Order: sequence, then C-alpha cells, then structure tokens
Amino acid sequence: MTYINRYRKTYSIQVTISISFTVLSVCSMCFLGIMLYEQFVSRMERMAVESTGQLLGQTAINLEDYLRNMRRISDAMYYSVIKDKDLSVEGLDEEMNLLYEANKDNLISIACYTNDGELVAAAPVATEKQGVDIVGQQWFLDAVEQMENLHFSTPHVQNLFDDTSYRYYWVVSLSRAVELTESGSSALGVLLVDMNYSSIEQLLAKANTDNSREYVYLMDSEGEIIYHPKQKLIYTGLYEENNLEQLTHEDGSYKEEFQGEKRLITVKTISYTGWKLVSVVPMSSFEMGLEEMRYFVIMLVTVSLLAVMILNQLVSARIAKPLQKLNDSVKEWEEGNLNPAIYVGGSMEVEHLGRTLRSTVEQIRQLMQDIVVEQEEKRKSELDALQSQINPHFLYNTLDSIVWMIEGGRSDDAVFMITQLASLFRISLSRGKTVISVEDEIRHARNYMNIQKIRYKNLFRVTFDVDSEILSCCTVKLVVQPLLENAIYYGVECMDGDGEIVVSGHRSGEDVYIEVSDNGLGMPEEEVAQLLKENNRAPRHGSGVGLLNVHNRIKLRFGPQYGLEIESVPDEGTTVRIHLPYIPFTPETQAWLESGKKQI
Amino acid sequence: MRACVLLFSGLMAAGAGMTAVGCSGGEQEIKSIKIGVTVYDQYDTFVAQLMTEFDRYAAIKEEETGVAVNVEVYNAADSQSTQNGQVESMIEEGCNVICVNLVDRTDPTTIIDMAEKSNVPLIFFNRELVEEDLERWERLYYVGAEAFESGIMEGELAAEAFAKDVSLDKNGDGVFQYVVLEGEAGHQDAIVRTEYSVSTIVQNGVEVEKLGYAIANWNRAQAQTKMTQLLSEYGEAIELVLANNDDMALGAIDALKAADIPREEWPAVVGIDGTDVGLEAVKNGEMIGTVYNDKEGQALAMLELAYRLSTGGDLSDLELLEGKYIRLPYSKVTADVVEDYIKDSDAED
Amino acid sequence: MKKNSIYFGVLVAVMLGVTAFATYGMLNTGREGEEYQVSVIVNNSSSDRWIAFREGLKQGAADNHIQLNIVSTVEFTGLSEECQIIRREFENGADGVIIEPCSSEDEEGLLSGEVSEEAVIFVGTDVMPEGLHTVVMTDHYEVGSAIAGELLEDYEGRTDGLTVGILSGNQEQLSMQKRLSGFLDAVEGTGIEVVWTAAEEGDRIEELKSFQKEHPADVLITLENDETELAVDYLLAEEKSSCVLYGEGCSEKAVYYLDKGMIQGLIVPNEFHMGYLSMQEIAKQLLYGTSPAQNREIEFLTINKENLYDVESQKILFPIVQ
Repeated sequence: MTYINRYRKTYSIQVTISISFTVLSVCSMCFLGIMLYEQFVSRMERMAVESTGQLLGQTAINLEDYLRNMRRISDAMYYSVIKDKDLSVEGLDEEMNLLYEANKDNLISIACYTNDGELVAAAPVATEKQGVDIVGQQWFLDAVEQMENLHFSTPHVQNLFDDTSYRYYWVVSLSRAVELTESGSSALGVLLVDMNYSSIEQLLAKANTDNSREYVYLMDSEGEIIYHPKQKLIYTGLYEENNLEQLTHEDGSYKEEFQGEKRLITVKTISYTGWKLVSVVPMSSFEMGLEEMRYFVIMLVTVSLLAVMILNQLVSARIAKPLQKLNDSVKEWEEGNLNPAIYVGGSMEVEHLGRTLRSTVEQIRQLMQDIVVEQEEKRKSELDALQSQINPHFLYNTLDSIVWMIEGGRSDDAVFMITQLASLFRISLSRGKTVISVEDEIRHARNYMNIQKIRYKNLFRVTFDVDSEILSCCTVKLVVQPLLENAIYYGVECMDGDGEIVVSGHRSGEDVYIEVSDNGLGMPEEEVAQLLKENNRAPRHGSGVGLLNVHNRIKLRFGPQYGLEIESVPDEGTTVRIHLPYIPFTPETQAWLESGKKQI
Repeated sequence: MRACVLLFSGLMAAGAGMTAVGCSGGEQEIKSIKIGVTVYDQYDTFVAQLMTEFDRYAAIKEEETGVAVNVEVYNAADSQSTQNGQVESMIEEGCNVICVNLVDRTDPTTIIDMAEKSNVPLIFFNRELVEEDLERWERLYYVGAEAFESGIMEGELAAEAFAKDVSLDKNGDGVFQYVVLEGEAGHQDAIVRTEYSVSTIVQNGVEVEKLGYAIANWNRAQAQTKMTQLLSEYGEAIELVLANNDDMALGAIDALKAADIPREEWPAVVGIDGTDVGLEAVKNGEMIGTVYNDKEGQALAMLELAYRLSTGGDLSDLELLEGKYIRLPYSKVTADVVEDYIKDSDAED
Repeated sequence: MKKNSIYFGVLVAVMLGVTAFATYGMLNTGREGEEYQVSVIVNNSSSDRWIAFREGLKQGAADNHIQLNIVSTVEFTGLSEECQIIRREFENGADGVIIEPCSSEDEEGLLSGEVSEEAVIFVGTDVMPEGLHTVVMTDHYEVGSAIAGELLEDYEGRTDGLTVGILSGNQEQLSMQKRLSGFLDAVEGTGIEVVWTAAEEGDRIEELKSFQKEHPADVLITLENDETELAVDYLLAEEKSSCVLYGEGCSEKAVYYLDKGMIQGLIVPNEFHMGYLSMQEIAKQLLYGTSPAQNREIEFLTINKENLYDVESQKILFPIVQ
C-alpha cells in the first residue's frame, strides 16, 4: 500500500511535515551558520587588521621614541658639549662618559672624529683598532656628504675599537657632521652615536612574541632589512622577504601574494629616518584561528539541527499519529469489517472527525441491517403470499367433483368433501398466522389428501405415521401440502393404483423431521441436487417451485440449517424430509416466531 | 526534547572525557632534568668561566648518576626585560629549576612571581638580590660569596704588598695614592668591594690617598680607556689600582702596556675573581694579587642544589644558611700561591 | 513507515557523527601537533665555536616545532663515550639525534648499532662507510683547497721553499682527513714543503713548540676551529714568532685574531646554516619516516682582513644578538 503511495508521491502527513520542516530547518540553520561564520570571519579580519595596526602603531611610537632619544643624545653632545669646547684646552671625555653612563642600556659608544678620521674622544672605550679606515666607513661618508642631516645607518658590526674579550657589537650608527673648535679655529668633524642594535631588536622582538605566524619587520628607506625575526635565515638565503615590493607601498594595509602565500601587509613609515615598519599576517594564520570557529559553527548547526529534527519528529508524530490511527480504522472498515473500532483521540479536529465517523459507521450499519430485515420481511410475505395461493385448478376440480357428487346424489360424499375443503381452508388461513402447530399442519395434509384421494379415485394410498410427540410443536404452515402435491403429480399419478405415499414424522433430539415418501418414478441424483437451488434453470416438471418455496420459508423462519432434504432413487421413489427445530407450540412461541426475530 | 538534553549532556561528557584524557599524564621515574640558566652578560669573564665550570660539573653529575642533566644557557645581554622573557620561556620549556644571574638585582619581582606561579624553584647566583626579595617565596636560593669579604681581602692584599715592597711607594711619602676602577654604577658588589677594600687598607695601618675613580662596568676594554684617561690625568702619581674585578684590572694593565710605561714603574694592580687570565697575570707579576672567587665551588654548589631541587632530593647537607644561602669563601691569591689555583683548575679539566 | 524511521535514524547518526567530528576538531585545534624531541650531541658543547650552530638549531627547532635539547658535553674521550650519551638520550625519550661523530672509524659498529633504527643526522663529518646516513657538512676537500688557495694567493710567486706546519685536527674524522688531502693536493707542485703535521693529541702547545723548534715552519695551517685557537694561543705566547696562520674556524676568537691580523686567512663554514639544515632534515625524517641518506652541503666563506667587514661576511660571521 505504502509502496504504491510512494510511487504516486503521496506521503503520509508525518513524512510530509517532518521532511518539509527538516528541509526548512536545514536550510535556515545552514544559512544561519554560514552567515554567522562569515560575520565572524569579517569581524576577525577587521580585528586582526586593527590589532596589527595598533601593534604596529605602538611599535612605531616606541621606535620613534627610541630614535628621537638617540638624536637627543647626539644633539646634547653636539650643542651642549662640542660647540662650547675648545679642544686644545679641554677634552670631551667627561661629558661623553656622563652621556654614555646615562644611556648605556641603548648605546654601544659615542665617538667624535676629525674630518680626517682621527679620534677626538670616545666613550666608554677609546682604544682604537689598528689600521681601521674610519673615513671610508659608510656612516662617516654619509655625515660628510649631507652635513645638515643626521644619518641612521643599517645595522652593521662596529669596527672602531679594540675589545680584547673578542666582542663584536652590531650597531646602528647615528652620525652627523659637527663643528670642532680647536685653538679658536673651527674645523669639520663627525659625531658618531652607535646605538646598540639589540635595543632595536628587543623593541621589535616584543612585537613578535606572538606564536602565530604573523610578524613585524623593519627596513630602511632603501629596502635593506634592519630587523626581521628570520634575519639570519634571510642572510643565509634560506628565507625571502618581499621587502623591495613592500617598500613601494605608502602607509596602510595591502593584500599581496608572495611565494604562493596570501598575506596581509601593513606598512608604517617611521618619521625622520624613512624606515618602514611592516607587519605581515599570512592569511593562513587567520585560517588557523578560524578553524576552531568553523568547527564550532558546524557543531552548533548539527546539534541544533538534531534538536530541530527530533522536535519535528515529535511534533509531526503528534499531529499525524491520530490521523493515521483514524486512517487505519477506515482501512479496516474498507476491508469489510462492518463493525470496526473507530479511533477517537488526538487533536480536537481529529477527535471530532473520529467521533463523527464512528457515529456514521454506526448509522450505516443500522441502516444496512434495517434493509436486510426489510428485505427478508418482504420476501417472507411474498413467499407466504405465494404459498397461500391454492391452486385454482385444485379448487375448481374439487368443486367440480362436489358438484358432480351432488348431482349424483352422493350428498354424504359431497358433505365430506366440503367439510374437508372447509377444514383445509381454515388451516390455510389460520387467522393469518404463518406459524402453526404440526398437528394442524398434518390435519391440513390429511384434508388435502382426502380430497385428492376422492379426486384421483384412490389411485394411491396414503399412510400417516406421525409421532404424537411432535404434534404439539411449531412449524411453518402449508409445508407438507406442496410436498404431497408434488408426490402426487410426479410420484404416484401415473402408478395406476400402486402408488403409495407415506407421511411420517418424528423427533430426534432438538430436531423434528417430517417425511413425505412416495414410491414413484424418482429422480436422478443431479436433478435432486438442482431442486433446491434458487434460480435453477434445469428443466423440470413444473412445480419444483413449490419445493423451493417451502425450503426458503423454513429457512427464513428457523434459520439456514433447517429446510428440506431430498433423497430420490430413480424407479424406486422419492423422500422429501422437512427439517425443523423442536419448538413446542404455544401462543408465545408462535408470536415470537411470527415476529421473525429468530434469525437475528 | 529529552533526547536533545541527553544528546547534549552526552556530548559534554564526551568532550570532558577527551580533555581529561588530554590532560592526564603519568608520573614517571626521573631520567632527565633540565636546568635553565640565564646570565646577565655572557661576555663577563667570570660568569662565563662559572658557566663553563657549571657545564663541566653537569657532565660529571650525568656520568655519576645516569640522569641526563640538560643545561640551557641564555644570555640576557644586559637587559632585564630580555631576562624576564627568557625565564618565561624556560618555564614554558619545562625547566625543573632555573638559575638566574640577575641583570638588575633590584628588580627580581617579575621573575619570582612567574616562578612561584609555575612552582619552579629559582637559584640566584653571583648577583645578589636583597634579602626582602629572597624572602618572598620559600623556593628561592642564592649561591655566591660574601661581597664584603672580597673587598676586605683585596684591601689586605694591597696592604700586605705595600708593607712588603716599599718600592711601591713611588714618591716615598708613605701614603698609598690609589685609583679605583669600579663596576657598574649602583651595583652592590661594586660599592661593597670599593668600600671594604679601602677601609681595610686603612685598618691595616696604611695611609691612603684617593686620586680618582672611574666606572668601567666590569669591562676590560672600558677599563683600559678609563685607565688611560686616569693615567693622562695623574700619570706617575698612581701607586695602586684597586679594580672591582679581574677584567678591569687587566684593562688597567692593558692601558699601562699601551702607555709604554716601563714595568718597574707600574702601580700595583689588584683584582677580584681569579679568572684564568687574571691568575695568569698574577703569575706573570703584572698583578700583585687577586681575590679568588671560588667559581668551581659556586658552580658545584649551584649544580648540586639544582640537581636536588629537580629530583626532590634532600637539601639538609648542603650547608644552607637560613635555608636559602650558600656562600663560598674567597681566598687571596698572590704570586706565591697562584700556581695552586692554576693547577687546581687544570687538574680538574 | 519503517523505511522512514531508518532514514531518520541514518540522518541522526550522520548528524551525531558530524557533531562528534566537529567537537573533536574543536578540541584539537589550537593544540599543536606532537612536538618531537631532538637531542644534539656535539663535542664540548659549551665551546664558542658552536654559537652560530646553536643559533641555527634554535631557529630550525622553532620553525619545525621541535623541542631542542643540546646535550651538555665535555671533550669526548672516544666513540664509545659518545655512543653512551646517544643511547641515554634515546632512553630519555629523544625522537631523533643530531650527532657530530668524534671519530669516523666506527670499526666495532658502535655508532651504527646505536642509530640504525632511529632518526639521526650527522653534522660536520660522515662515518665510515660513507653514505649510509644523512650528513650535513661543508665540502671538506674544498675547505682544504680553499685554505691552500688563500695561502697561494698571498704568496704568489714566492711559494718555493715555503715551509708549512699543519695542525690537522682530529684525524679520526673523515672531514679532517679530507681537508688535509684537499690542502695537500692543492699545494702539490708549488714548492711548498710540509715540514710537520700534528694531529690532536697530548699537550698541544708544548708539542707545537717542539715541532717548531725542530722544523720551523713559516706558515701554520690549521684545519679546524680548535686548532686555530690553539695556534693563536701559541703565537700569542711566542711573541717573537714571525709565523703566519691560515686556517678554518668560526668562533669569535678566531674572527678577532683575523681582525687583529694574526690570522691571514680564515675559512668560515656557515654553521648557522648547518644547524638550521640539520634541524630541517631531522624534522623531515621524523615526519615522513626515513628519508634517503644524502649529503647536504653547507657553503663556507673565505675571509681575510679585506673582506671581514663586507656586508655579506658580517651577516654570516658575527652572531647578531647574544
């Protein structure tokens, strides 16, 4: 059944409800999840940009502070010390030491050179290395070349002083041209402040403490890298940075692809030096942070989907179950059970439906039953009407015989005949009752046979052998007479005086049997079998209808197990047995049987 | 609905179970320990040699006990914030004990707080923090020497030399004219050493006159520069150079050499620490003496303490003063006994 | 109806599966993958010559999520001692080791027995028989030739009769043997005479002195960092010596004396690269199982006083921040 339904794409209510709800919720959940995720991604990206911007800004401020500090040192040294002093009179050592001690965390050395590279003063170490070409060093060249500016160099190893502990310092040199006064005449000189590179490194390393793959690096205006977390790898050529392209960017954030990796670049220029602080955030490092979120969204969506699905199932079941039960009841009814247990329950509407259906079914059944009874009644009365029609032929013959007797002066015989006829009619009428006692029925049969015997001039013999026991029980009236009529017409009429008809009756337990036997022609078995079938079209000798009539009337009155049984042997005779229940004849039983209630 | 609740609680339980599994880890027999060390400046000769000794003892300990002793040495490069970061990463790396040679001995708060939070014992060494800081937590220890003792011995060395060799009093006025090469400004050892050495000389009945002083940050090259400046200022007048450590004493000698002053006119130079180069200088007679800072003893004490703290061993036989301090004595080294000290370290190599 | 409930069950099961997967994923993200533990065993680990190497190791360890453990060692007495340490490191849970074998002559199979099943990288030198393991090192023959090249360049046309003494380092190591043969091959036919060759044994300074007394050499050749430092010490002690020195080395002391002019030419292998590369190689082995044994070559710089402060040499020579 469901199979066919499936083919026709008609689904049960539950399936329809749960599928549509589920589809709806899946769609909306997924949509919600994706929206949530997208929202999160964009917010995170924005936050990342913001936070790198902040970090970068902070680092830039720190770095600028630091560099300004260094310039202040250089300024202080120049304007407050060197300009004031005549070198021929006094040295710079004391002030230089003071400045160094005050800033020693960030400084490697302060040194002052004359125009031809001769050391004027230095702190804290002043032991010059042998054979060092001061004038040729980059910081010196820068200072001399552009005298009005301060110059920051790229990180390099200081190559000025001799440190016997084999120590070499990476420094960033801040150099400027200065005016040295010696014995009143002024000459050009160079002031060098060597900043400890590790201070810059520490400053920037602070911005790189995060374990994620984002980092900040610093390059000068030429794109030369000053600090990079993977500096040593870059120097060795094991790592590359896209510094030259990034150099061309103005301050701001950019997206770029470098070595197959998408990255978010933020550039910030450090004032005065033209150095560029660059933060690099690989897009994949976002992804890493997002992965957790993605899992979370998936989990959230699936869990809520599960909840919704289960809820759907429950709700749809709640709606559909009563309908289904109702439907099952209807199916049961359809399948022929006239008295199905109609389900009443569920939601108000369904309950109402069930109740209505139940009463409808009840009504229909009632109606059908009424129709059956009505039909039966109709039939009974039809049949009864039929049986009460005394063959007019018989009446005519009988009356003719009586007339003939009277004419012949045989008034006794005529009286007998009339008496018999009167009795016959009286019993036939029986005041309109259908059920009479066996005694009356047998009497009726006797009356009939007496008349027939006279008519047929004793062509046959009749023997009544009825147990008196059964005389006082009920029977449908006029059941024996048709049998006798049959026996006469088809059994003994042509027997030329040898015909014999025996009417016998006895009780057997709760059953009563009345037999009419003749020794006439008999019938073959097939014919016997056809006799009691309704609507049989088998050829017959006329009034087989009488038998059937009797049979049906008995059955209608007493039940299908009762009726006629026929035994017949060709050339030996026929026995027709009436089978009745044993019901003692009283006015009550008569009335009860009359009302036809027996059948129900 | 109930199914949902069940489902949720099931998931939660599953999640909790997974975390629980993730977190649990069994105790096991100690097979290796990790000692983190951060030094204030790896170029400080004494500290470098102390660490060499420490490594050596660690290797010996490893052989003796079969427990792998891993020593991770960091250089704070004169930056306290760098050092704080190093301690943090050492804690993260799971060091069982951390030895700290403070950059700024007045600022150990961050380090102590981090260690206390992760329950990693700290051994401070060489640079002593104030007692109040050491009292902050019971698992803090200090290994080092008594600073004033080194000052006293340095003074004694100078006084003895002056008494023994009158030629040191170059101008013959019976007063010792001296200059001081001081370590870092504000450093406790520098202050104490200078203070005690001078006062001890005076206590020993030698009259002194301070010509000048310079800060050379424990550094040889800086000392050379400063000494050069002092020489140019006072020249011949300097009869004694009191250096707060051997490196600076050697720097002074470098300056004397560079100034081409004849050997017999050199002032007396005394140092502290007894580094290998310092001992060599004593042996050569360039320095009249140094105060031997027992680096072997300190290294051994540190290692022993660190080992026991890591393995949960008993500390009772370590002679802890107040349950926190291990102090090793200084000893005076003059040319007469210098061989013992040089051999000492050679024999153990 | 039954079919429907089966579908429903399957759907719920799928959902549950996805949920479990997501939960698991969520709990696992942020947690780093398993960290491998790698021990590094080199001779005399606290020596200055390993500074750049250590730096490389650290960078490599950080980049490859490896927990690095540099084993504190003193001078090895022999291969068996080294093997003992290797064994102990594996017992202590090391997933792989990076080893500088103190001898290439592993006749008893000590070393190969120790490391046959394990992730291992040799640095500095291979062991006999060659080619069984991944080795990260310079081309030692080329190093020898480069030292000779420096010498020949400086003494162009004056090589005839020049006497040379060689401090050949630990000749049990293949690397030193190759450097020696590289040097000898390069000076062959130039008229340079090798008057003595000293391998690493006994009291070196005294030995050096006696060698020099017997067969004074004009030029000292050192094939290895420790030997270079030793020769420097010797030259410092013998103030009057007119010897010049060519050699290999990477410690700050060696660089300092090159700067001072005591060393004429110095071959400096990029030890940072060596450390980094060995870490990368061992990470590869740990992640993907054993990789085929191969030699990874490390470049070296030829430094003399002229190019010491060149931008490129600075970057390799001097540790950036300590």
